[in-house]
Amino acid sequence: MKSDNDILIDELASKEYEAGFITNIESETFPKGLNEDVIRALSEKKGEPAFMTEYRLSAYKKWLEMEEPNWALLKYEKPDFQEISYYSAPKNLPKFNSLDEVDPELIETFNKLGIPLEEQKMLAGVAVDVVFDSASVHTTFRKELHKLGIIFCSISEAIREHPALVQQYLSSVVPVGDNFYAALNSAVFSDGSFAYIPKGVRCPVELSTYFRINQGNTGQFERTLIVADEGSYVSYLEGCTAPQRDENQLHAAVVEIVALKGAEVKYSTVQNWYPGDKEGKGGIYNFVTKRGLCKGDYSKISWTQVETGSAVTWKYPSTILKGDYSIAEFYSVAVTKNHQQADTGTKMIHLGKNTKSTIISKGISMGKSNNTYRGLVKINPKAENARNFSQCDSLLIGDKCGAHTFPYIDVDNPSATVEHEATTSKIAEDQIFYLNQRGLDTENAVSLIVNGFAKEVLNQLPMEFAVEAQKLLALSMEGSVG
Amino acid sequence: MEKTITKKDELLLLAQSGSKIHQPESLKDEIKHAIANQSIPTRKTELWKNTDINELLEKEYSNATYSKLEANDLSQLNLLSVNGYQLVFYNGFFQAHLSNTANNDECIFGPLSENKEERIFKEHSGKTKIYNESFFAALSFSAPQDGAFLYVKPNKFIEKPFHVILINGSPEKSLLAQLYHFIYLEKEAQAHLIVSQASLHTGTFENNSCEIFVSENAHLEQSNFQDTAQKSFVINTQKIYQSDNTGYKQNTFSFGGNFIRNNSILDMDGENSDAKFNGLYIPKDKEHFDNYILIKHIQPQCTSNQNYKGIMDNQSTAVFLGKVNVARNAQKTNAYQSNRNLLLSKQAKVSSKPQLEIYADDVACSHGSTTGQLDAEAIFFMQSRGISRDNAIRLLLFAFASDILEDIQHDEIKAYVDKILHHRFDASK
Repeated sequence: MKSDNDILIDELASKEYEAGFITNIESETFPKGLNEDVIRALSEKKGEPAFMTEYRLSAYKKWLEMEEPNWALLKYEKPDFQEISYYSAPKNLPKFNSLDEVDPELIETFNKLGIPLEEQKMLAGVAVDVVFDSASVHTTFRKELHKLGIIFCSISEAIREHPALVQQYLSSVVPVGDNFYAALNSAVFSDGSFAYIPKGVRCPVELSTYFRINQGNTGQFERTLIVADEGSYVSYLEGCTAPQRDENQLHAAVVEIVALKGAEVKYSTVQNWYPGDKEGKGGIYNFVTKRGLCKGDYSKISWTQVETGSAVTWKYPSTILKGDYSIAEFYSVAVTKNHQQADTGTKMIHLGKNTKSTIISKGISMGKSNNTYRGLVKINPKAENARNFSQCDSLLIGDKCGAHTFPYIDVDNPSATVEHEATTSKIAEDQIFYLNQRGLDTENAVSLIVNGFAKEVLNQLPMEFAVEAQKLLALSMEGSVG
Repeated sequence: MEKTITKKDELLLLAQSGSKIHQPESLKDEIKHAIANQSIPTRKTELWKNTDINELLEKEYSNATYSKLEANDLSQLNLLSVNGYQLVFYNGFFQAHLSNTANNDECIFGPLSENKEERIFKEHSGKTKIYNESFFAALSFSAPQDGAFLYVKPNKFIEKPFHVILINGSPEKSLLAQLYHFIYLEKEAQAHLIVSQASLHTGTFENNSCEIFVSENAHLEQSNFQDTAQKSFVINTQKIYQSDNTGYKQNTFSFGGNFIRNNSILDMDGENSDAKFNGLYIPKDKEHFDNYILIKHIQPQCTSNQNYKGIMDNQSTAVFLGKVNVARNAQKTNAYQSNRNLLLSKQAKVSSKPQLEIYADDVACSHGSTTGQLDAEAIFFMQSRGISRDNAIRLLLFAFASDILEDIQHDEIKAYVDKILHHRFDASK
């Protein structure tokens, strides 16, 4: 006989993906395969200047020499890169002036996901740059931001209209040949977002992009570049959901952040891509390179992520603390269920003096999933008085899942103070019993405990996002607590 | 064209020509396979990422020949002296005149080359598949010159410790010394094994492997003392197998040595067992100490505990890689890892990798790692109370090492470690 608890765990672990539906919008798609001609055609199609074509080709050449990494604790079928189409954009792409002109089906998609575009525009005061598949469809609040000198547009547009800025900062944090997927992304990235915050400007709204992978068989190669000039501040949100698909879809994005002297960038992600069905069939492969550079003194980069989706996640938002007195933070909640696999964490590279980093990572494993924290804290010889604190906690729900912690701590300077602690445990029976006794049923009790477990991280999210993240977490837990 | 001989082939040929111990015939194919499939680790090998062995590989090694170790030379080394059984090896050669072997109704303790319990050896040697752990383990296991053989009979509690002394070094050339130790405790037996490693001269590559079997209800304590010479290289690979209701405790003290790499792999393949690893490493100058511990919880209701502490001075480097692997079946596991490091100098480096890999849910596993320097405020506090700066630092260093020291049960050993620490901490300031 299965106990109530077991039944609940089974239920939790087998919750079907709720945002799975396909939008039928005609799109123009390249034939499958990758070679130099495809890259040239892609570059031409996007009307890019010559330096970009060269950039893409050099990345492609580097990529050809590289091997797919296999050091992560992940098991998956390696994608066939010749079976992917490298460009897909909604076909009817007129320039909209108002939301009414946007394809109604698209609006409906967002409504189904509970992201009412117009509501957000009006109520939340969020400028939304919707990336639907690979090309930008709609950008809002551009004019208001423009007054402050803030550039927030698709990266293709930035390449056409602000080539000098792009050329200066693109790949300045993630070099073209940094890793296998970053090289691939550099060669074939289709679109993405670009933000530039000028000197001393505090961005009044949260910049936000909602990604959706829509076209079957289309690899998504997003590219995001955020440059915060001296003394500026920006909070950037990225959120993702994807429709249900049977074939594995590859997503290899690159995010680069540059924070100059005294600048602060807050980057928040909620990721809820299709994780595959109960048997682990289908689902998104998420191989992302995210890296920030605290280039100037007193700069700050803060990463917050809530990971609930994807079949395979390979993601390490990192920060290079180059400027003296710079600060980096990493807050993460990763939830895995069914056959999901997540190998995620961060890297904190301390180069400057008096630099400080904090890592708070919470992993929750359910079903037959595996959840790995992998992080590096590196204190270089010149990083005097560097300080790091890391905490990684894992929660196991069910006896078929795995939770792993692999921290790497390299200290080359004696004035550094580095602390790391980690725990792995399950929800104790006495905790559940206590809540049962107070009138909560077991399901609610589990949900409450998990929410409390992740609270430290959820608190870091901007208001608008925190609600959605809590909802997502509760959904993943099949809970009613939100 | 003449085929170039790789370093791997060179080491293998050298080891085979110097080997005098034959591993059981039944393992022949598996060993061959293990050697063929493993290559010499590089910086790209995950487990050797922070340890550079190029210097070790650059040297041309030759086989040692028997030379007699004088009692005077041995006493010069200031090794731990305890009242117990003793085996002395010099560059892999047994020194009968300095040893005190045992062969009675309680235990058998002697060199493998004179092993009196062929049946046990044949049945169990290689059973932990130690040769699959690394190329060096396979090299040492497949072709050892000699080694210690310890067999403790059922229900015997041996109070006298078993002391294995490994001395290396040659005044003129670089030698390869390889030993394989076989330790077997029968049911309900209890013993204490001490391994001391030291050098008389520089320039030896000592590659040891060791298999330890702890049968049901048996307890083994092991203490390792490492104080080898500059320019010597030491790699120790040890694989321990624990059955039901057993206890195993290891204390490793690394005081000196140009290059020391300790690999300990523990299979907790019995219920209700307990394992404890204590380590204290204090490298100085350009020394490099590397500890790798892998604890595999295979059966339920076991506990394991790792507590490693390091004090790095001068340009020394240290690596700690501790991994706990909890299998799906190993419910009710308690595992704890702690690694604390003190950096005393600007050029000192440390790399700490405490890892947890957990597949069972009803477990309590945690780890902690810290790296820092002496607390300036604590020193100032003591100075303001009239304690000199040097004394304050000495006090803090002792306090840092104290919990490892406190955990030693044997008074003789405790006094010995205390003496060495005093000597070292006095000299360091």
